[in-house]
Amino acid sequence: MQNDIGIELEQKANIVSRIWNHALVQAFLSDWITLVSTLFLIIVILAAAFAPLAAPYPYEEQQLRLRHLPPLSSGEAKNVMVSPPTTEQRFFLFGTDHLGRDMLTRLIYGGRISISVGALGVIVSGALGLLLGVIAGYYRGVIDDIIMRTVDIFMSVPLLLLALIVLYILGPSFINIIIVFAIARWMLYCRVARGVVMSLREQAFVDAARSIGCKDSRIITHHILPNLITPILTIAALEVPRNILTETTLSFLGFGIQPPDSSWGLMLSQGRDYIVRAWWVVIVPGMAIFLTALSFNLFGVWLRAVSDPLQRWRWLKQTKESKEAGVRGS
Amino acid sequence: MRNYMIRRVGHSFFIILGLMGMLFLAINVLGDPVELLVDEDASEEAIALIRAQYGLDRPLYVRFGEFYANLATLDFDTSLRHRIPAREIVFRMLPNTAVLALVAWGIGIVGVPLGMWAARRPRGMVDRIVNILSFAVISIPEFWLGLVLILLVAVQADLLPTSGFAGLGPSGWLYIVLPALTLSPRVIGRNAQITRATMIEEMGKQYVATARAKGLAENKVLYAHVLKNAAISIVTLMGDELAGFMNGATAVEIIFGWPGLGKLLVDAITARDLPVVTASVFIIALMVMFINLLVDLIYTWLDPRVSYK
Repeated sequence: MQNDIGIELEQKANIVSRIWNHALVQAFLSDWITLVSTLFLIIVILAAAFAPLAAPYPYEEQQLRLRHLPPLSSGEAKNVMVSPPTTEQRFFLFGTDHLGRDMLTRLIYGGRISISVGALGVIVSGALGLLLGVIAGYYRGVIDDIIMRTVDIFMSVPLLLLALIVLYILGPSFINIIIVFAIARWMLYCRVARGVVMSLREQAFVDAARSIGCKDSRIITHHILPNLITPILTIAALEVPRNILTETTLSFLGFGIQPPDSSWGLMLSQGRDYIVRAWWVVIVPGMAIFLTALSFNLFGVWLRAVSDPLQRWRWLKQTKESKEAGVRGS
Repeated sequence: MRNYMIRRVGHSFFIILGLMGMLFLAINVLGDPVELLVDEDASEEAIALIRAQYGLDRPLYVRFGEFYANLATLDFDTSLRHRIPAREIVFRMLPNTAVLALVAWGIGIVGVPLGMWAARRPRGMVDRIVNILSFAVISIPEFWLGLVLILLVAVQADLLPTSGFAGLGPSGWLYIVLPALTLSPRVIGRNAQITRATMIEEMGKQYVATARAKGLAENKVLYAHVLKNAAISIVTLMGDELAGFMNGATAVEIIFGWPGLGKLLVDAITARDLPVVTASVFIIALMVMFINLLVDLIYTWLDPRVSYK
C-alpha cells in the first residue's frame, strides 16, 4: 500500500520535473522580458474578463465627498442605498476621479471595453482579410485583380481619416468602432493570406489532394488554412495593441466609446480637465494603455520570432547557453 | 519611366475620386445630409427650409454630378460656421499641419543612427536596449504623452506655453516645441526598428561577406554598402510616416490648440459643418497621395534596379 503511494508520488514528481525541464518552459524562464509581458497580459485579460469579481467596488457608485483622493489613500464611503445609511472604510489604490469613483474599478471595467474592441477588431478584420485573401490567391484571375486593386485603394487611405469619416456617418458606438477596424485593417491579412495561398496551391500536396478527387472547399479548409494560421496570428498579435491605441485616440476625440460606458481612452478624455489638480486621473489610465500595448507588442514580436523555425531553435537553445555561461562564470 | 509616372499619377487621382465618391455616397445614401447640418431638435419646417436652401431636395444623380464638378474647381461651398469659402479655411490650415509634421518628422530622423548603432552587433547590449525602447515608444498613446508633457514642462516647470499658436514666424516657435516633441518619439522608434531590421537583413547577404573578405574596413562595409541598400526600405517607411502626420496628428493638434487640418476636420464634424468636412478630407487625401508619389520617385532614384514598364 505504502509502496503504491510511493510509486504514485514518484510518477507525479517525474511529470512535474518533465514539464519543468521542458525546453519551452526553460526558455520562457530565461527570456524574462517575454515572461513578464505575457504574465502582465494574462493578469489584465483575466481582470477584464471577470471585472465584477476583480473590481473592488461597484462600477457606477459615486462618492462626491471622496473626489480626487490621491493614490494609496483611504476614505469613508457612505452607502445610502440602505436605511439607515451605513459607512464603510475604503482603500483607493489608484485614487478617485472627479466624481469620487474608484480609479482601479473604472480601470478594470474600462479595460474590458478597450481590450475587447482591440481583440474583436482583429478577429473581424482578420476573418474578412483571410476570406478575401484565400479567394484571391486560390482562384486568381479577374477576382484576384479586383480584390488586390481594392487593397491598394484602402492601403492609401489613412486609418484615422477613414475612422473619422465612418464614425461621423454611422455615429459613435462600440459596434461601429469594430466596423471601422474591419474596413480599415483587413488588407494586411488579405495580402499575406494571398501570398501564402499562391505558393501553397502550386505544391505537390495540393496536387495530390486534387488528384484523389478533393473539392476546392476541402483543399482550402483541410490543406491550405492550417498553413495560414501562424502567419495570420503573428500579424494579429501586433494588430491588437494598434487597435487599442486607435480606440483610445477615437474615444479621446469623442468619436469612440460614449458614457456611461467607459474605456481607457474615455477615462483619459474625462480626466484631461482635472490634470493640474489631480495628475493620477490622467497618469493611471495612460499607464494602463501604455503597459498593455507594450506587452502585446513584445508578445507579438516573440510570437513572430518563434514562428520561424530557425529563430525558434535559437530561442530554445538560449537557456543552455546562458546556463553554460553561468557555470563558466562561477 | 515617364509612362509609369503618368500611370502612377492617374492611379492616385482615381483613388482620391473614389474616396470622395465614397464620402458623398455615405453621407447622402447611408444617412441624410440634413441631419448632419441641423441640430437634433430642429422643427420639420426648419429641416425643409434647409433642405431647399442647400439644394438637397434635388435628385441624387444631379447632386452627385455637381459634387464632382465642384471638386474639379475646388469649390467646396461656404463654411456654415465661418461664413467664408471652405477652401480658404483649409488652405490657411494646411501650412500649419505641414510645418508641425516636418518638424516632428525631422526629429524622428534621430531613429536612423540609433537603429544603425543597434544593428552593428545584433543581440548585443545596445541592440537589446534600442529594441525594447523602440517598442516602448510606439506603445505610448500620443495624446497622453502630450498631456504629461503639458503637466511637467508647461505647468510644473513653467518653461513653455501649455498650448496655443502664434503664427509660423520666429515669434511662434515656442508653441511648436511641445507638440513636435509629443509626435516625434513614435517616429524615432519606428525609424530605429526598420533601420535595425533592414541593416541586419542586408548584413546576412553575400556581398557583405565579399566586402569583408576583400579586407574593407567594417565602417566602410556598413556605411558604403549595407546602408545604401537598406536606405530603400528606410525611405519608404519615412515617407509613410510623413504622410501619416497629415491627419495622424489630430489628437495632438487638439490638445495643444494647434490650428491644423486634423483639428479642423474634428471641429467641423462636431459643428456639423459639412463643406469644411468635405474640403478637409479632400486636402488630407491629396497631401497623402502627393507624399506617396514623391516617395515612389525617390525610390526609383535610389534603386536603379526598379524599372517601371
